[in-house]
Amino acid sequence: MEKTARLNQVCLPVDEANGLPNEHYTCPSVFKEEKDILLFGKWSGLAVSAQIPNIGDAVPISFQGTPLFIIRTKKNKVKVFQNTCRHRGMILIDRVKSIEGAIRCPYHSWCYSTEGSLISTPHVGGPGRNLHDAIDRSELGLTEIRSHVWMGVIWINLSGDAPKFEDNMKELIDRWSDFDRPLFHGGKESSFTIEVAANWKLAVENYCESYHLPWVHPGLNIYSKLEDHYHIEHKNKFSGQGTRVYQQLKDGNGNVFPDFADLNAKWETAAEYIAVYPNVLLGVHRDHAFVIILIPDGPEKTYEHIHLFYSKENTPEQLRLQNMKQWKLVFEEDVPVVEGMQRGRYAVNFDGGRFSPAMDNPTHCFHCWVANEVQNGLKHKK
Amino acid sequence: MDSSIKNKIDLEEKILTAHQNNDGVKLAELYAKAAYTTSNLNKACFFMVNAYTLALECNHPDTLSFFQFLQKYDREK
Ligand code: FES
Ligand SMILES: [Fe+2]
Repeated sequence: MEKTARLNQVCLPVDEANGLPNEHYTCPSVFKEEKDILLFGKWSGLAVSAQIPNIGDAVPISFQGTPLFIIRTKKNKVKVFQNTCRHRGMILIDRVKSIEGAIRCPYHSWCYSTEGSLISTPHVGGPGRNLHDAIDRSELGLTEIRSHVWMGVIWINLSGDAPKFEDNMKELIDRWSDFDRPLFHGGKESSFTIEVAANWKLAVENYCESYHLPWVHPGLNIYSKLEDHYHIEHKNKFSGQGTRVYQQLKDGNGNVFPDFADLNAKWETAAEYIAVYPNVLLGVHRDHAFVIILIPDGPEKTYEHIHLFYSKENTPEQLRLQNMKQWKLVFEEDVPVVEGMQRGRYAVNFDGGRFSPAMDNPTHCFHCWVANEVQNGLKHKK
Repeated sequence: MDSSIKNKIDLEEKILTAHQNNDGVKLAELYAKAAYTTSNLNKACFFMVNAYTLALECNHPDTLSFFQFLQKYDREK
């Protein structure tokens, strides 16, 4: 079957569809295609703003080989820049640091403000001369990458042409408006990274569905049973699952985390887990939220950067630790199945697999998005 | 040794040490001193460019006066 036909097959109704073909999980050139279309062309998660809490904080991050850095500017704004000097292309920020004044390039010391403008060009017109007619500083500021902060996540659109974040994500922003308030990162112990030997999309697929709960997360399933879950599907944007029986974590003395203020009554027992396409997995509960940013490293390796957030700054440390451990266990339980699906993709006669029309709808929703976007993207290129 | 030459060598040594220690504040101040103590305008501007650049980086309180020095001779704007 040729490529278009196979991708069309993915977008059939869930009871007839097949999943994405193997090459979407194993092939470097398809990975590159998807990188351009699905990651660079859309709003992708890059980091969390809690990584740069103070003015001047700067962190270099390479995103799919593109050197970037995030910074909290003097005006207290989160910005993302290409980490490349406008002079000879030197990397500007080579480690996590705090910028006191200007960003000085380590090579010939051109200086940029934290807002990105080029403010000085030492000796550019010869020794002791910082001016030259050919060097127009107003045209040589740092290249800013479109970014937006929501749910504590710094989202970026590298291609620069995606619809505005707020418009693009309107349905989810509205759905979760109760959580659209300051989220307090739980600190060092509340973030961890899991390395998975699998294509990033498998982490999304596994996250979207509750079908595997009884088998992969037996502990979770004791109180959060399959029948308590519902699907969440929004075509072309996000999908996932919700539960109606969320129970708050308690420590030995019966203490719980404080709730987010003014929540709708629904959230007393509900929790929702949504994969925001392409690479961000979010979870919300009455008393905490988490984000997982998937950073692919080639077709068969993914870093899952996990961060937990609370409604207030100083929540009990022991409880935070307990919560982190609980989630870590759940996410680690998923690793063998995600990696197993990756290995399964080497079976030459595997046709992408079938979906349970009752249980796999959110996963199918994601496959369908990938198939559509890849087809559109390739058409566009031609 | 002529005392002005000795001072110059002292200053150069201090500058090298500050470079090695990555001490931007100190370095900015030493370059400014070098600028203020030379009578050759081009040399003074050369040192002042270094002082100003480092001052910008570390947000030194004298940044503005270094800038004004260079601006006066049309070396910065
Ligand atoms: S490469 Fe940055 S100043 Fe030359
Ligand atoms: Fe899971």
